Amino acid sequence: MLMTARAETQPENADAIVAGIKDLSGYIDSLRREIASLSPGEVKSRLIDPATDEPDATIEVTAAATNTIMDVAEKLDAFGAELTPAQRDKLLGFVTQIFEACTFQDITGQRIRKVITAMRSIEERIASLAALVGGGAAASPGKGFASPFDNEGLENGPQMTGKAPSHADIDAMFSSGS
Amino acid sequence: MAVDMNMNVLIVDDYATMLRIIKNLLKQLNFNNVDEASNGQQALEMMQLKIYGLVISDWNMQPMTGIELLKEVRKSEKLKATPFIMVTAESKTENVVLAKEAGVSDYIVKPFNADTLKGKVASVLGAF
Repeated sequence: MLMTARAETQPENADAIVAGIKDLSGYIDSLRREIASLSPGEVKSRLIDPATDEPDATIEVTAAATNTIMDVAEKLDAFGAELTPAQRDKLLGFVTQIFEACTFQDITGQRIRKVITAMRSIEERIASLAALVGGGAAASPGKGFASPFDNEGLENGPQMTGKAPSHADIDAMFSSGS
Repeated sequence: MAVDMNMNVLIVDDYATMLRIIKNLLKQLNFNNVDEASNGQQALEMMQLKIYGLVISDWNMQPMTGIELLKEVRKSEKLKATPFIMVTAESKTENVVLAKEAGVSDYIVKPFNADTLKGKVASVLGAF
């Protein structure tokens, strides 16, 4: 009885299974194409590299600014020797506050470096995934994506040091009339 | 016993800005003999050449981290009694526990202010 029931339903089940496998195969195929089209090389050059260069530049600029602030604080501290004891103590209190505030630079630098590390990790994972399904750094460009770092349109600021014209360059452009 | 304000203090950090900040804050506290090292390895070498009454060290540095430096200091017969304060952004409980187990004298979490530094130094060296 049971054998008969099984035999009757087998062909129907087999068709359903085959159809399911075909669907799955199609889905995996399209997934492979999608992943391969991620173009890890493009993601790296148009997104990850500039996105990590920007915070690097932020660290550099804030470090330079912090050092300038501390230069001035040290000069103020030295200037305190010319004041009365009461005035010197008051000035010392202010100078100490400046040094305390400057610790922000260390903390923000560490946080920014964590974000850079996370982005590099994402880049590696995308490359591994794409390589796994036949894509790779040299894969043909995918469907294309918008990158906020592309030099299209006018909103590209702030520019990285060395990549933007200096004020001297701009002055030269104005004086040449071009 | 009064704290010897002329003692040598060694500050260890791979970040020049942070070294400068701590050095200046120590100066405000009247510690003027302050040396700097940029990693644990360099600090350990300096400690072999000079007696330091206090070490203030960051945690994350290479080639030797602050916790590795602390362990080396506590292992050394010559250096093991040196007061050692960890100054770090590593503020998870397990970090503090690890440093405590390794024999740290006190622990400061970044960012910190001059009063915190003074309080921690005083807790390690005595009131000054």
